[in-house]
Amino acid sequence: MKRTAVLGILGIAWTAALLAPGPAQGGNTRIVIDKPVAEIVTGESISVEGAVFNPTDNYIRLRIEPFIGKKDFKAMDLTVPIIGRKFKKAVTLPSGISIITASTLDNRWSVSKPILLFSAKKGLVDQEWGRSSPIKFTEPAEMRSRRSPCAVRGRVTDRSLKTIESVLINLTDFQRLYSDRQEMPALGFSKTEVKGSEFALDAPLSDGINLLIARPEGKDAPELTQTKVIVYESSSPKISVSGSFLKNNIFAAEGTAGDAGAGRVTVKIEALVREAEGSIPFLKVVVEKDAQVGQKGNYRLALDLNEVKGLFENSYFLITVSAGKEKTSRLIVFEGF
Amino acid sequence: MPNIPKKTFLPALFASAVLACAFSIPAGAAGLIPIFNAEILGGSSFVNGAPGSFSGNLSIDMVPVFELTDDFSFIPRYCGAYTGVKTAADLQGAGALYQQAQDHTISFKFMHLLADELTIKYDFTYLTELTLESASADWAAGLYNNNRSGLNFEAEKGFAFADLPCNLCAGYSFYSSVFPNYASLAGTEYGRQLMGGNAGPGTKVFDYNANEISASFDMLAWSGGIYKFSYVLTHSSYPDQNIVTPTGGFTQDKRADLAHDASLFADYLLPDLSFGGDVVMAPSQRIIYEYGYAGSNQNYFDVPNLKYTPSFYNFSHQKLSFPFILRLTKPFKLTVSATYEYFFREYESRTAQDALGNYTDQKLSTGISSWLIDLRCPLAFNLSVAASAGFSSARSNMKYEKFYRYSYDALDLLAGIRYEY
Repeated sequence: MKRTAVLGILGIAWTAALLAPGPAQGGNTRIVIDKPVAEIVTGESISVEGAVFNPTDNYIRLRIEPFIGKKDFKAMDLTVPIIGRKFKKAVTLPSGISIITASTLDNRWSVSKPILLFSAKKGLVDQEWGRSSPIKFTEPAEMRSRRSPCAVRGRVTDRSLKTIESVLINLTDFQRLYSDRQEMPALGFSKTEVKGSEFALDAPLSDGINLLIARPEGKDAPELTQTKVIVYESSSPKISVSGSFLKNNIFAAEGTAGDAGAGRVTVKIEALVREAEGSIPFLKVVVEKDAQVGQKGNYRLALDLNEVKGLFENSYFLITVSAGKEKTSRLIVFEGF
Repeated sequence: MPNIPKKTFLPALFASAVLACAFSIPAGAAGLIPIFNAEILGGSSFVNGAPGSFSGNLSIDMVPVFELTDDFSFIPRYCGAYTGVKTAADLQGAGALYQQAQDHTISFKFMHLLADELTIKYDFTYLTELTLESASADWAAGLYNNNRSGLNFEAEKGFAFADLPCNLCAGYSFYSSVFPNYASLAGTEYGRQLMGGNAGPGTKVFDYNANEISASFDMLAWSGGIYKFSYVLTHSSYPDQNIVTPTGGFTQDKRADLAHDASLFADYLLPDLSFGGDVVMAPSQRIIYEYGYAGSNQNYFDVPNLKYTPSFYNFSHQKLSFPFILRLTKPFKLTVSATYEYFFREYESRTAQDALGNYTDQKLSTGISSWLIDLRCPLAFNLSVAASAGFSSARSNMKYEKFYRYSYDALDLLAGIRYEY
């Protein structure tokens, strides 16, 4: 009886795993998307490049589909010629998260890649995403937050909407999820009641880039989803930190620590890097050591960027300076060598 | 599991072992891109309402692509299939209604990318097809078993940076087909004795050699549609099939055919279909028109009716296809292909017969309408569910069906699992 129950549970689990959605497959042709390499881009116009193995046609299809974006930006479908066994096409992305899918003409094989257009300009600039979503975030108004949990407020334009679902993930977790080709709805959403067309929730942020994704309860259509990007940086009144890129590829983290700690602070610099081109980026600790606090209360740590393997354009550095219980962090976007 | 004869099984097994070793090399090492597809379907077919027994179709396709350099690829391939259920698509063009069939193909292809978007391709292919007309027959003894080997050369020039990207392709093929088990009775010693020593029809009358040249042009229009035109000229010679004379005898001249085949192809992406944002579908439509003319110097003499028909195998055929592909992206991924095809063949000299075999003055013609549906739903672990249904309705003015069925209705239903890597 017990054995039957175990086998039954395994059978159900196996069936459930099989029924989990996967990528479209088919045919004897395989397509690989080589570029863009980074999942985070800051320019609206990017070049999508890749290779086609054993092609049976001279063209492939490219589809740019907003995952969370504007309703008036519908999915863009392009037909791209194969040159040799390569393809290359300049495309314009909508703001927000897009899914780029390359497929054969008969759609027997396809491959997808998520891209986050972080800003049309260099640096961190808030975007107006989810125009067609009934959910609007009103607080925090800024993109950066120094508090965790962060008080998030919003309103809904659809009065019949009583409950919203939301999920909070760090950006690197999002990239890892999508590399496994798992659909976003597979995440665990938490529910928040809407009262009088307004809602409030507390978001436990982690250092770095946080994505708060909200949707009407039970609805997973991209046009109805709203995204709030919150850059969380821990902030201690006793420690300040700033980061800057200097000549000769030097990155300097410096600031003041006052009377925090016994004349020393611990400086940790993490960088978003890749082990190899095309692999999933991850936050790697590139340096963590103590820095002496001078008589004026200032400290400084320099990092030679040439020693950091796997950096890429639009990556970022997360500087965390701590002394005892005090901690301050700062996120600096790396714009390339 | 079908009983596969050793002569076919061993070469296929050897090729599979070689390719399996190739697949054991980690992907990414030495530019290897392994491609593997396997499909198993179960179902049945119905001809004129009579159900066939439940059976299955199995296919395996292994294509390890070796990227030897950035410009040179080596692509060996093994493809094997067992067909227990004849589909409506298989019956088009007067396809034979075999009980079961299996085929095995081994090919070695080379692709060389030269400068200025010029690609040279050449390959060697060997195909063996085994057929069973009855359940009690032996695979190795199938009367219509055939082996085909061929060489193919192709040159392709691309113009990807033109205002309208396009490609030109030209090719030459040579292939030879042998039916090892088929021999005409008249060609045997007994047959020749009956004919009083006259030249008979030949013995290996189905064996042939073919030379083929081809050309194609495709372009990408501003609207995103793709247009393609292709032409193929095939010359086939039958080294052991003698020409029939008006008096029913045979000459020493051999049969030779010349076939022209041209096709027009158009592919369009249609606007997305969205239903409240909960259901999103991306459709595309194709239109394919094919025209072919086959000419042959072979004649036919109907002995019971004492009727001579010159150029018996001359015919023209046309085919119009409308494949519609619908890709469902929400709420789940599903690809549906629905196709309507109309095929028409008319013989130049051959006339239709009534049910008793009497000749009419109408040229023999056959029209076949087919509706084909194919569904694929991807699952996890590189698996997908596959299902297909096909219905073919053939109508001909040939009413004499003592030896061959010209008018019929056929339905096939198949479902199963597909694995792709």
